[in-house]
Amino acid sequence: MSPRHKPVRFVLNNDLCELDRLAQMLDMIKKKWRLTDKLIIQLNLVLDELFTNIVSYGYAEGAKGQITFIMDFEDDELRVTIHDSGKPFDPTIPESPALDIPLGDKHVGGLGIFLARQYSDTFDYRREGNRNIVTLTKKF
Amino acid sequence: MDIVKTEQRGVIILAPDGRLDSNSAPSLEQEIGTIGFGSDGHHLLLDLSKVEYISSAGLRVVLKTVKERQSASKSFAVSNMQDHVREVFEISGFDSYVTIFPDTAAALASFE
Repeated sequence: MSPRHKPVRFVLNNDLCELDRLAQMLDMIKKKWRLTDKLIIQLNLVLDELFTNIVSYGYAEGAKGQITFIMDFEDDELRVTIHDSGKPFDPTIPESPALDIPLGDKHVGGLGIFLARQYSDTFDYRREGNRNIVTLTKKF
Repeated sequence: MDIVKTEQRGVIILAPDGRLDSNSAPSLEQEIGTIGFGSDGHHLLLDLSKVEYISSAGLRVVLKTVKERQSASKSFAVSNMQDHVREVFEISGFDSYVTIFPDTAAALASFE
């Protein structure tokens, strides 16, 4: 095995302003690994929704936390691992939002996670110690 | 985020510029909130030509606006979507709840 690249690891604070830094990191990875705009924008959406969820619900008001992203690729797929030390949350459980019910009754609470799953090829969760770990893959 | 506000033929056009995510969506929501939709209000068009990226937080602002204006006499539409934005609307099923026009001219004509 002769890896031609190293995994990319970056850490964001639990602050929505960090979404700009997430986009910058993905832009850097796009150039480094020569990925397409389409793949990166879809991956951005997946990671944004998971990150936003962790920042919004994972930590007590005012508590500081960090979210770690590790990205790698092999053959024709990207693999991303995201971990945080917030409250236990399994994003594989929330149900898909009902998309065809009347507007007045529409619940959009689960929409972000729904989109994250739609744009991933595999999507797994595990709790290890005090950490939530989500692993997802996306084909090129 | 920068939001350009113009008025054409009695229609307020809001054109946000940049990424519409959970960090920037509140400023769009706030701007939309300043536009009245009572009997003396305006029709509202959201021009997304300069939005290359939208997340569920952006979709929520659009949905809230649809709901608020649905029962009012003033209408609301979205126009000039880029490919990614259109796709996210479609995957979410929002394209069946929101009036969407390919361009500003078509949207303005519909308000008349």
